[in-house]
Amino acid sequence: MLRRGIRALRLRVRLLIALRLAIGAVTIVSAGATLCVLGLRLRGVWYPPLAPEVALVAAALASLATGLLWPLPDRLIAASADRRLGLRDRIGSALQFLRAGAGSGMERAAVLDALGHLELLRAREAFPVRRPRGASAAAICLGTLLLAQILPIPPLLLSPREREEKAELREVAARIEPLAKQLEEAATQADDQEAAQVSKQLKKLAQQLQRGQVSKKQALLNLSELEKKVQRLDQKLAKPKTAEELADSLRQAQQDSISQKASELARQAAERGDKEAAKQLERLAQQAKQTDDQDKLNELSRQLEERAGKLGASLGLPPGLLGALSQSLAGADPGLSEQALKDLAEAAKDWPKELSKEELEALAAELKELSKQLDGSDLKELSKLLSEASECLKSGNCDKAGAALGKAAKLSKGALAKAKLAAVCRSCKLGLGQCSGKGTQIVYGRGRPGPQKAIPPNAPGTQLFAPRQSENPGDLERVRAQINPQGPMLATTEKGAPPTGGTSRVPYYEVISDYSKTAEEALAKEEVPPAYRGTVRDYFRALQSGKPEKE
Amino acid sequence: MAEPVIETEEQARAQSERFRRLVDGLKAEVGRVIVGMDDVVENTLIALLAGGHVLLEGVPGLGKTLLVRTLSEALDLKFSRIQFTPDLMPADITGTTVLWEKPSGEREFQFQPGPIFANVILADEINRATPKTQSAMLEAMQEHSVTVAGASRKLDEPFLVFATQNPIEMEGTYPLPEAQLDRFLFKALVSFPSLGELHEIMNRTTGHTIPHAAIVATKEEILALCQVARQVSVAEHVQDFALRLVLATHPESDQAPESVKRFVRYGSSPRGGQALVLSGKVRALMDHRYHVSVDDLRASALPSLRHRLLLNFEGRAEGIEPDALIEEALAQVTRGQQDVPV
Repeated sequence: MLRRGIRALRLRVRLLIALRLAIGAVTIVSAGATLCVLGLRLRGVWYPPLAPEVALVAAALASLATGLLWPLPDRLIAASADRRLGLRDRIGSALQFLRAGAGSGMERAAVLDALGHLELLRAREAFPVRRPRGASAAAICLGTLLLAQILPIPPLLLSPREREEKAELREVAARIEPLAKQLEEAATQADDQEAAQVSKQLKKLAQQLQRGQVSKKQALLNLSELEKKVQRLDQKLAKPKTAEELADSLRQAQQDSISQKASELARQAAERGDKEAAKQLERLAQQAKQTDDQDKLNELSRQLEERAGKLGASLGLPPGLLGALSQSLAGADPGLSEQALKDLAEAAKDWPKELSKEELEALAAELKELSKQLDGSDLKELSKLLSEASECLKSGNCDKAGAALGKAAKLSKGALAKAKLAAVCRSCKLGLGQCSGKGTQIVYGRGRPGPQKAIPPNAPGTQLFAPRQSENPGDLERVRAQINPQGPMLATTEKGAPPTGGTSRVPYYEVISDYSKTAEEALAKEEVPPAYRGTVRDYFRALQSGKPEKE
Repeated sequence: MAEPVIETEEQARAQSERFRRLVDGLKAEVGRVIVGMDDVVENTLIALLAGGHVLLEGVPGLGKTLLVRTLSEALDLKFSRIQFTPDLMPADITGTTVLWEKPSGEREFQFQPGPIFANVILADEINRATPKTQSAMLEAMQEHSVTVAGASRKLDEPFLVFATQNPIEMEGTYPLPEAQLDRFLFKALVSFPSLGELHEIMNRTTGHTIPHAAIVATKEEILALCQVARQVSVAEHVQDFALRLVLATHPESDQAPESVKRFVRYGSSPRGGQALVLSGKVRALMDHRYHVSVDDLRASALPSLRHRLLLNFEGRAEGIEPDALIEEALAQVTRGQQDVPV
């Protein structure tokens, strides 16, 4: 019974020792961590944000474990309890008498007396929990550590270069914040957990950048990582293309098609020795590249078809068809596209005689590409028919392809009108068929500036990499490009085709983050000569922000 | 009459209860005559029950003699007072052999016992006698026997010496030798009474009746209770405290505080440790306990050790009081006690 009582006292004492050790450890570790954090932050060296807290928890747990295993002999516990409760060595003496056998009557009486006192004894009375002396110091050290982590470093303590970097990071933060908000809204609408999490991460990063809590290098690393996630989410959460977006992309496709085909015909004409025709076709290609005007593009399409006819060359999918579709979607007569498709269906009857197998395959590829473009919009039925026609052409069945194109022609008029109305309804947020479609202006701040009056003239449209002139055309694909203040910018790029201007086979957006990271590491290791560092930084900064690089 | 060994806790409880009753009775009876002097009375009772002698130091007229006389009255013991003077001879204390003529006309040597043959001896102003006379007390105090003319004679038990000395009038005195001082269990300092106590003294001693103590116990009972006190247990760590304290009074000891090392020439003898433990046992019984505690030792430290410290010249020149040195030694030993770190 005496030993049981002492065991209870020992447990209490060990808990108190553990508490005291933990407070001591927290004081020392937080003081050390504060100095480290301040040193690292002043030097601009990145450190894991939760490292000090992890160290604190580890130190506290280690000291708790040490305290709970602290060696405490029975006699020490007994003597301490005697002293603290004024028991006049009752427990300590009784313990010793028991060990010695308690042979005499006096010793047995002393043991019984001690037991009587021990029964009334409460461990918390002998060893009460008092506020340890180091508690205030621990609280102060913890508070200082938190402040050292949270508070921004006064600009006075930073070098001019660091101040400049901080300012840049704040600008990046200002650009990230609206993107995070957009993503959060999209996540709420789509009830997507991953998107919500990424938006939170973006917000946190913006906050850290704003407060200057992360180094530039770390910020770039975090940004590139988050950018990949955002890209994935963007594709996941992408809404159907609006009629205007589709019209815009079809116009761009027409422009590209004219330019590309004119260049190809020019090459063929030059090979045949018809320099005059080659020159005119080159000029036509240049004009196509330089203009955004739909009427002008239609005119250039017509001229190209004429030239192709004169040269006896196949033009493949007529660029006029793309123009007709674009115009119909942009609000002009839907009959234009119907007529263009009808013409194509009619022409299909003569294709087995006029076109070689390769030319048919090229035409099929173009139809497939057009089908893909329409697939992401409200024109899925039309896309399906075009895809069917493409498949038929690939297998050489031109009749069936013509039939599919005829069906597409019939469908196109109504489908295009419906897509246009759907876009208007979406923009006024009333839903399909619930609004008159009047008085609603579709305004969007992304994409390439075009002739549409709804697009603001200063909308960003920088195209960073789009190899349009490739020997073997690849798949055209709309991809997400850069993060702009107005949101993610979409651009058309060509994947899978080797660019004519270089040996690279990988689009820049897949490598920019890695290259930026490598460049930053090289700068950090001082592998780049000081005179060139600014230029290197500016280059990658330009790529990241979409601004033109400084000369 | 030796009390049998206490074997059961019931016996221990009974004897302890008997001990406390006697002490309470003695205190009450002494308190009827003596005003104040609580510490001195308690220390005197402890010495009585521990079987030790007491050196009472105080100016004349403070009631030292009255205290000893009252105590002997309450215990029904034979009381003897010896006034020590420079011309007092050893034989005046121990007794002598005289030629005695019988009624038949025969003559023979017969031992005439001196005043030492009593139970309670009051050796008044012991420091006024010559060392030769003082040393006559040595054997009596230690062995409880005297040797006269080659014959050793046992003294009646209990045998207790209460010696007094005047700390002021030092001229013509012979300070007690260390060997004799060491034989006193306690040295009690009798201080001057307070105003209230003086009032009470006046009231009690100037009236038409003088209070007297009634008999509380016989000498057999006292002897039996002395044996009971000796059976109180002492734990090892408590005894260790007492011995560390004794060692701490020695200047050459590692455990001695700085002041002891500086002012003490020689510390307490092992008799100091015995005095601590023995008095601690009596205190434990008086406090309803069956074991000695460190607090008992603390309470007994000053009376047990103050007369056993021999100050060096520097200590005497600085006017250092042994009590202050003992307090420092106590603090030092207490600091050395292990405690849990909470």
